[in-house]
Amino acid sequence: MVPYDESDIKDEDTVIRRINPRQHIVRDDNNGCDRVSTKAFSASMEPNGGMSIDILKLIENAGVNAKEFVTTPVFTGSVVLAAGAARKIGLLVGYDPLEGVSGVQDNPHHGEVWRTPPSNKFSRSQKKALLAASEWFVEIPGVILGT
Amino acid sequence: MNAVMQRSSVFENMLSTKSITGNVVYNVPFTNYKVRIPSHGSSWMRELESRFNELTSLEVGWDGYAGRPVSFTCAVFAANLLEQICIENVSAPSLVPGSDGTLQIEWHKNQYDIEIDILGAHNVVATRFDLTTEQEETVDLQSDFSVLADWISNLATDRDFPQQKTA
Repeated sequence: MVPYDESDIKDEDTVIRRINPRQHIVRDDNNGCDRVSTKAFSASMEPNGGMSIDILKLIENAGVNAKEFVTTPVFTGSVVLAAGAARKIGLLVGYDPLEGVSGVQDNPHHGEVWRTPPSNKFSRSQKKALLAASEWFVEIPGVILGT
Repeated sequence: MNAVMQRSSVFENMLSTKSITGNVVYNVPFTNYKVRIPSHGSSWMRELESRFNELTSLEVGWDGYAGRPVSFTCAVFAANLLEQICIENVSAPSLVPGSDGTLQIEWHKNQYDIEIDILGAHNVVATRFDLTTEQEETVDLQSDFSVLADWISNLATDRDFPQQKTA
C-alpha cells in the first residue's frame, strides 16, 4: 500500500499496536524496570513500509471482541493510542487490510502508520512520542510503556 | 509434490528456499530449521548465541501481524559487530527484532540509553541518549564503528551524577 492518510480515520479514533511479550520487552537498569522497546514502534524498512496497527472501530463494527481479536492467533499484549497522536508528530494513518500473506491469518482491520515518503524511518523522538501517547489495552504484567 | 527438508547447522550465505531435483524445483519450508550463527569467542556472544538462533527462527506473524524472522544477514552482521566491540565487564545487550527482519541491539544502563538498529549489513543507525544531560546523538554508520566502541566503553565508566539539592 502506498502511504496515505485516511480521512475516514478521525483523530479521536483509536488504533491498537500489538506488543510481543517475549520479543519487544527490554531490561532498563536506569529505571529498574522492564519496558517496551522503541523497536516495537518502528516502521518497516521494506518499500512503502510502515508500522502495523489494528483499527479499533473496524473491529467493533464487525461485531468482534477487540481484546480477543488482538490476542489471537498469536498471543500478544497491546496498547492503544489515538490516531491523532501519530498525526501530531507528522505521521500518516491509513487502512491496509492484510490478506493473502503466506502463513498469516487475514486481517481486514489492519492499518499502518507511515512516515511521509520518501523516508520510512521513524525518528527516535517519534517512536518515544508514540510510546508516550500509548496506554495498555492488553497489559503485559510488570512492563511499563516508557520512562 | 513433497517438500524436501534440508538440515544444516552452519550457513555462510542467505539460505536458499529451493531444492532442485531433475527438472523440478521444490519449495523448501523453513519450519524445522534452526539457523545457527557461527560461534564467537566473546562473553557476549556465548551468552547471546541461543537468542540469535531464536530470532532467526521466529515464525512469520510472530508480532501478531506479518512479522518475519530476523534475517540471517542482519543477525550475522550484528553478531560480528558485537564481537568487535565487546567489553568484558559490560553485560550483554538486549536484542529486539523488527517486523521486517531487522534487529536492534540495546543497553539501558549507567544513565545511558544506547540503541543500535541493524537495518542491514553495513547499514546501521545508532542512537545514544544521556539521561543526565538529556543530550541525544544519532549516527548513521556503514563501515567505521569506532564511535560504538566509545559508547560501550562509557557504559563501564564510573560517572559522577549530579547531587540532588536538599532544602
